[in-house]
This record gives sequence, structure tokens and C-alpha cells, in this order.
Amino acid sequence: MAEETVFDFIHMEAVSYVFQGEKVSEDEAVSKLEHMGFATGYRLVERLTRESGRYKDELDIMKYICKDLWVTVYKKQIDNLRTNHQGVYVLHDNRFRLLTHMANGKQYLQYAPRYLAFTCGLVRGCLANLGVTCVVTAEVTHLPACKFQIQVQRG
Amino acid sequence: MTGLIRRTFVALDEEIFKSLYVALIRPHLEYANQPRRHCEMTIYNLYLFDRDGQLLYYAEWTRKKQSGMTKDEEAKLMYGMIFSMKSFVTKVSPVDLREGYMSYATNKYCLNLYETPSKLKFVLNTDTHAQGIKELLHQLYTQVYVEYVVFNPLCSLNKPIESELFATKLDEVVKQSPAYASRPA
Repeated sequence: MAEETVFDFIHMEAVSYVFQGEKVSEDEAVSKLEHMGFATGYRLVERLTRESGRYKDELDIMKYICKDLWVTVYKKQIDNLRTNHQGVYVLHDNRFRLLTHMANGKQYLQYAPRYLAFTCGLVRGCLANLGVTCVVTAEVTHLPACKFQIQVQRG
Repeated sequence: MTGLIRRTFVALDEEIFKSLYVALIRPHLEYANQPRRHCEMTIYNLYLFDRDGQLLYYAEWTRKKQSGMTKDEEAKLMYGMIFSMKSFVTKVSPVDLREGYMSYATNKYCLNLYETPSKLKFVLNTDTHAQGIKELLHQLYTQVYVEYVVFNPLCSLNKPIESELFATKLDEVVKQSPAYASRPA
């Protein structure tokens, strides 16, 4: 239980560190966080899938992300996975762990994307190392629920 | 008791029986009801001070009389009082004090102070019959403050608390404690 709190606090500090300084624009800072997440995810997935076999197809990889990866990092599974079978996947998490302690509704809504940037990068990094190039974005309308949209780049 | 009454009087009128009943039997039934009275406890208000004496949060549930000064002045007065009381109590105490909990009671209300290891002070005013306040304050600290303020990256630890979630949860925990009754005392 204590290990999760260490990650939570480091993540909180990483976000405020990246936003330090007067001339830092929101986009710059968010993309730094996303890069951090990417590098972390890239190596993390290598470590976590050491034992498991190859994945059948893209959908299988997505299911792995929703179940195993989320359980390892956030101690719960993704609540809902939707896809249009054309390369767009939407992951719904109704109680995203990094947002549960912040608010239960609309307060702090403008700051929420900062706390999702690292996770977006994490997912992108994991998928990249599994052979899936993609773009990951996140959306929050009602804390602590959030949606991650994965768009797979083909060709 | 009713048997006794019936045997004593040859002719028992309804009126007489009723008055005898009220006089002799009811008091015994009411006596059994009395312990419930002690559960009429109420919580009046709560102040939360940080280590420098700044008021981080104030919540009020029942308050019939205002103190007649602004919130800031009242907060400073409260903090000054508990600070001096704490130092007085530690100096005068005949035994070694390690507890972070202290309270004083007047005949109308009881002020309870809980100080955490990080020098955060919870001050709760309740009525004189309240029980289990130390546990309640500890619970407020661990389950509400730590969860929703320390873990909230947007709450700075030395600024007044603005998180609505904190306010909601605090309210919930206080209202479900046995020391809170919705009937005003």
C-alpha cells in the first residue's frame, strides 16, 4: 500500500516541477510529462510482459493494457473499452486513481489534464514497444472519471 | 403495581385509576427512558489551524450565538487561546503529557482540541454530553484531511482549503458520528 503513495507523490511533484517558471506554456509542460510517460511506458512494458506470449492482434493488446497494465500501475481495471474496429479505441475509467482525491465533480476541471498527461505517455510508450504506433489523448468532464482515446496510426 | 392498586380500592373509577397510574407507574417507565437523553449530543463548529496559526478551514453545523467579530479576528482569538492554554497545561501538569488531545468544558459547551504530530490543530465545539470526540477528531484527520488535502496536488498545505470534496467528506464523517444529533440541544 505504501508503494502506491510514493508513486502518487512523485507524480504530483513531477507535474508541479514541470509547470514551474513563469514562461512555461501549458502545452510545453504537458508534452514534457507525456514524454516522461512514454519513456517509462516503453521500458515498463518490456519488464511486465517478460513471461507472457505474443499477442494475437491489436484488440488483444488493448485488452492487455486495460486489464494487466492498469492493475499493475493503478490497482484496478479499466471500466469500459470501446472501439470502432477502425483503429480508434476509447478507454473509460470511472475512478481514475490520480484524480479521486482531487474532486468529485467539476471543481479543478481545468487542472485535470495535467495529471493525465503522464498516463497518456505511459500508454503510448507501452503500445509503441508492443509494435503499435498511436496517439493517445485524454478527456475529463466529470472528476474522477476520465476517458483515454487511442488512435492507431497505420501505414 | 397495577395489581396493588386494584386490590386496594374496592370501587375503582376510571379517573382515579388514571391519576394513580400517572403518579405511581409512569415514573418507573420514564426512568428506563432516561439514558437515551445522554445521546442528545450536538456538534457546533470546527476550526482547523496549521502550525503557524493560520485558519485553514472553518465549518459550522449549529451556532445560535455569533461572537460579534469578523472571521479573521475570531480565528486569531481562538488560536491565541489554544496556544496559551497548551503551554499553560504542559507547564502546570503534575504528570508527563504525551497526548495530543485536550478539552475544556463550560456548562453549555465543550471545546475539544486535537493536535497532530505535524502540529495541525483541530478544534471542535460540541455540547457537554458528547462522547468519543477524540476518536472522531482522529478519524477526521486520517480519513478526511490526509486523504483529500495531502493527496490533492492542487491543495497547498499552508493555504486555506478550497477543495469541495474535502468539505463534503468532512460533513459526511461528522454527520455519521454518534456525537452528532440533528436535534439542536
